[in-house]
Amino acid sequence: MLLNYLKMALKALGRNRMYTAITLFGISFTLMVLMIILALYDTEMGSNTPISRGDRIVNASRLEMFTEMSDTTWTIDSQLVAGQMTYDTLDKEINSGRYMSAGYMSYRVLTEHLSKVEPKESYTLFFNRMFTVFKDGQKFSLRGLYTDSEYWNIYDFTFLAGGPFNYAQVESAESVAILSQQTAEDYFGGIREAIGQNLPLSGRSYEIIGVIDRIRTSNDDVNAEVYMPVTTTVPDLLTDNSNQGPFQGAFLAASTSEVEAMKQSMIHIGKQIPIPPEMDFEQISIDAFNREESYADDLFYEDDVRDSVLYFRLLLFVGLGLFILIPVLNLININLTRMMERASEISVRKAYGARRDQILGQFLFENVIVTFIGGLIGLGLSLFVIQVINSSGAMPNTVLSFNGTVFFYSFLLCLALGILSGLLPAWRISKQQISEGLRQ
Amino acid sequence: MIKLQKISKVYQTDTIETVALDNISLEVPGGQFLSIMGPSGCGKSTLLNIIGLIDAPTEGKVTLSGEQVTNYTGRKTARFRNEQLGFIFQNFHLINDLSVIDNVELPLLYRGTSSRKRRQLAAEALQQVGLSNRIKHFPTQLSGGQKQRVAIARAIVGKPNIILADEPTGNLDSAMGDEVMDILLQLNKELSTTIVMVTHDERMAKKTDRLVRLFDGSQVSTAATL
Repeated sequence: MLLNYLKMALKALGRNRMYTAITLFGISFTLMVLMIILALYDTEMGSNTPISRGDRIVNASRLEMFTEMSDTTWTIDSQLVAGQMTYDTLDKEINSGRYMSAGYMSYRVLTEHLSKVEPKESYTLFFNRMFTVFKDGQKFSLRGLYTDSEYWNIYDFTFLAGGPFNYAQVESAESVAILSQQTAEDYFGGIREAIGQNLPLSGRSYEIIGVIDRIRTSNDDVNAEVYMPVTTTVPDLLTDNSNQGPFQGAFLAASTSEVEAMKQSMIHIGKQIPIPPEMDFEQISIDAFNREESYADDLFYEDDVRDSVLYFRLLLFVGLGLFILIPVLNLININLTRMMERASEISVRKAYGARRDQILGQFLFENVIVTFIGGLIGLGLSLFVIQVINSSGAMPNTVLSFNGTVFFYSFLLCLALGILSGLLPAWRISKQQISEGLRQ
Repeated sequence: MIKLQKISKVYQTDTIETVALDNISLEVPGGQFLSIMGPSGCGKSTLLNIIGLIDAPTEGKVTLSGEQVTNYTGRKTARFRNEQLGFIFQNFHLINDLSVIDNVELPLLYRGTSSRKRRQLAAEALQQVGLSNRIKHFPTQLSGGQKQRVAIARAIVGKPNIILADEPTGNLDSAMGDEVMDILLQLNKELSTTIVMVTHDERMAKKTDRLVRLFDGSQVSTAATL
């Protein structure tokens, strides 16, 4: 039966080349764009190295100290009672805003307070800083990241040479550093060549002990060109008594089921952090964000991160939905015309015992086949475009890739597009009376 | 075999009511070759559609192969048509995208017959109509007479009890028409298949067992032709 349908689908494609070209172009172009968006989403949000455990990580990404300010509004109501004017007043407090200071946090907040977060498997802290170095008259701008040894356990970087710095090296503030592949090649002329070499940064000479593979995501928590022990930074940063500083923390839960409890613990502990008396704030809080919340917060920055996540998802789904809707409507239209042309075939099939659901199934199957052919072309196109995007440097910190996950979701997309654009026409055509088609 | 009791068919639109069939009663014994004649618009095709469960009567009862089928619904009708009825149309209605043998297999497809068995039965049916050498051709590569023979093979492949033919020779020249008619007569004789044929051709009608004439939706005469 399916073989028969497959034959029909392929024949139908060959019958009207113009129609086929338009249909396949529409399908393949739509799917190409969707596949690229999927690849981008997977690169940023998927479980890929070095954030394979992304679904178990919660970031302490911002500390906020604030005072809620309120306004009082007065409403005066007047009415005439027994010839006398009477007045009624109503006062209402409205939360009119916050007086606040927000930013990253100090080393002390993380090591003295947030280190008590439970349950957690481990946690790390880090901060970014830009460096400019010169070699042979050439200027290099390097994104530096200071961190501890636990960082390398939470994030699973792939080392092309050497390895990470360990606890002892961090404790003793050893001047060791890890480079990105690109920097090792640009600065030292190769990955192997970089190991054991010295890189002068901020008055220290760092020995290169490892080179990591190119990172595919633009996420700042992991994307840097040189990684150094946190203890080799300016000592004041580690002893500073204030709450705010340049640091962020990343907390790893033992399992995904413990993530929420860990997050709540972070929020709870955040509220207990003492506010220095010289600071004129009443409350304090820590933003404990998972990856989606971090992205959403970057984009929308709503007071409540749940709103930001909602807008982020709406943007994603409504945007994608609208993008799919237009080609789907077009395809429905074309499909309907095409199916109507086959009224006689439908009548004959019904006369010989085809049930309505079988007719519906046949046309849906045919449409899904056509969509998958379009999907294959779209796949080829998107692989090509991804290659072009990656090599053009249009997104310098992001490397798009087409992995199993993206392929799986692309497959689902093809199926959805095939069913969506075929269901309505197939439904209508399956309702056709036998005698209608026989008149043709 | 076929029993129609007081069949009426009225087509109704907002403004007009058209009586296509008016109180027709007819009995066709098993194995009979019946032809229906009458001027255009007299209700011949409507009658054939009602016997073929393609159309439902407004009033009356239809009994086919001993089953009262008047009130059959979608699934049951589909199954009955598939197992008991074969159709031959004036315009052949072959599926141009399918090869000759795939066209002939069609009724078996909806019966769940295995593909091997389907091939075998379709090849046998094509042999019966003398088209064994055309099985891989497509309908567009065939002459009118050949197309109608394919349609006959499709009608008989499922070994139905009743074949309904709506002007099967209407689009063919007399030589091809005779050829098709001979095949139908042979089927009727050899397999004892009941055949109901609508025709405009007096010459063809005379070859059948019995002739029913319709006029303005009513039966005006029925007679043995021989």
